[in-house]
Amino acid sequence: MNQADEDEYRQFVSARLEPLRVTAYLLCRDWHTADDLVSITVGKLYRHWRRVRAMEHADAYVRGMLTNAWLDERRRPWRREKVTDEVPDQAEAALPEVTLADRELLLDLLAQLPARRRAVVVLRFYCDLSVEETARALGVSAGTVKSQAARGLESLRALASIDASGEGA
Amino acid sequence: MSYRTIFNEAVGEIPPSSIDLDRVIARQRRRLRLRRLTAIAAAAATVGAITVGVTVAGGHPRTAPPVAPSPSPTVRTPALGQDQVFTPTDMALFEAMGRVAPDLEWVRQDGAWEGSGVWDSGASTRGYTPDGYMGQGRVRSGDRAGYLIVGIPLDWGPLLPCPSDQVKKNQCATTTGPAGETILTRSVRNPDTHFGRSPTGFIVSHDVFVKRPDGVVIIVQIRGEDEDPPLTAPQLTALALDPAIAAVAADPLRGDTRARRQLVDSWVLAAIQRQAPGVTGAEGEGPVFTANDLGAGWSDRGAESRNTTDTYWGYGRVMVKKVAGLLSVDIRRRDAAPAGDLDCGEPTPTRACEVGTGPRGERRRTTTTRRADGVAAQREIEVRRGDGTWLRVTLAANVEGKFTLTATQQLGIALDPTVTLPGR
Repeated sequence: MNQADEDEYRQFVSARLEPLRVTAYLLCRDWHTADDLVSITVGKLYRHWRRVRAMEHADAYVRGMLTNAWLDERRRPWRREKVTDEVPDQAEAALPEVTLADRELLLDLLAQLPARRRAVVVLRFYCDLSVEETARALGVSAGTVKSQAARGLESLRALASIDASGEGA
Repeated sequence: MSYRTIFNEAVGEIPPSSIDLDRVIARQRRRLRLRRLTAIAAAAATVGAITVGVTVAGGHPRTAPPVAPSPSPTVRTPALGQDQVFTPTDMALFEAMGRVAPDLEWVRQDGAWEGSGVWDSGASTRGYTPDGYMGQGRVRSGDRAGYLIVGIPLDWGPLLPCPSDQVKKNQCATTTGPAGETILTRSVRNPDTHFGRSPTGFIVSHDVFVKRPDGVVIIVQIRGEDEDPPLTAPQLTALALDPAIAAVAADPLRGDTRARRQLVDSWVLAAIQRQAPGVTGAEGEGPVFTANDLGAGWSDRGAESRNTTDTYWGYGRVMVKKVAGLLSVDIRRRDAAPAGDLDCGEPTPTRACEVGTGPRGERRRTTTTRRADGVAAQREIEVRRGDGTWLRVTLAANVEGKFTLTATQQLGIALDPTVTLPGR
């Protein structure tokens, strides 16, 4: 990479470092891991900068890289969450909707969503990616994004309800 | 209130970043440089067969004699880059340079980040297999500057003879060294397409290939930034024949822990490919930038300390017929292996276990873990060999409970005798 390319890369990354860190934090709920994920992502981005900068949706693509870095990271044996501990999908449960009065609760609830659903919620509602951009980033169909996003929000409400009533895990 | 605002409020105060962008860039530069070095090594393989030079400067190569060896040279060690560690071969080279060219200085490349190394070295690779030592760095003697490249391949065929037209022009010559070494010296003059600094528009390079009677080959090259390189061909020859280099050349990757890990990586990857022809890497669904070959995603990232003289650890996402899964391989020598008889213990609803004996008397245990809903989650195969070496091959299933490899393929990797640790 020549100096001009590198300067451009630095400018691009520096301008997006904080939103990328917050995105990573929303996914993993740990600032150290979030910084690791962003480091991995910007390292990959450096190697492929010329190709990425030419893309029409470079920002969405980089967020997709970040999300995939997280999905890969949590599959690692020493970091893998025990599958038996995963919160069962409760989207279909007919539970009353509640308002998320406590914003802090949102993060806890988000962390309880299955990984891919969490990724869809973060990309759609924090990163403001369109359905199509989210689908491209995660390698799934637009329909899957729509249903996962809807179920993700439903799950958040449902989990909030369970926590509020003291019946949840 | 938008979702974004809600999320931002929920996140609250953002702690200072621990991301060091300079360090990230330096690491990626190093990675790209080592790839280029491998390409240079490949190009050097054809040196005897390609005529690229036009004429040597003036047609008269420098004839200055090599500096006589002295027992205690002034060793100039280049500044270390961030996270860089010099190997015994690097140190031998610096010692030899102190004897052959005591006035030579190491120079950081123009525009290089201050954390980057001056002497960039490591294992060159063929595919993902280390095939030799390779190092390069910018050097200067007075106002003469150039790039020094040193290669010590692990396996090199016969030196090709000088092309007759280069011999006629005094561009290439083959001689015999004091201990029966075959020495091929070549000097070429080429257009300055790389540096863009030469006032004449041409640069001169010298290459020296030394092949010892025991088959060890040492390649030393200087690429001048103009027509007056900072080292002469006789100096390069003296460098290649120096006793310090001679002492390490038979095992040029000794002490290079990264190369050692790469070597085991190559054995592991070959075993995976033998068991599952057509297997590829899988960086995850979504953005995939590179050709997804198996080795590209195989690493020890995040657990580098698990690679030592007596232990190996590597992992990567692999894919066969669109089914991807995380595969890891753990190898430990007898002293570092966990104790135990590889028994199954009490059965549980979510854990199936089977023990047996391999074809060479190895004790083996296969454990498959399932989620509460019965979907397979992970298969782990452990093997204890007759020499006490312990291996564990772990494969995670995809979300549907499908495994990338069959149990037989996975066991084949664990029992493969080439999947082992190199000697101490």
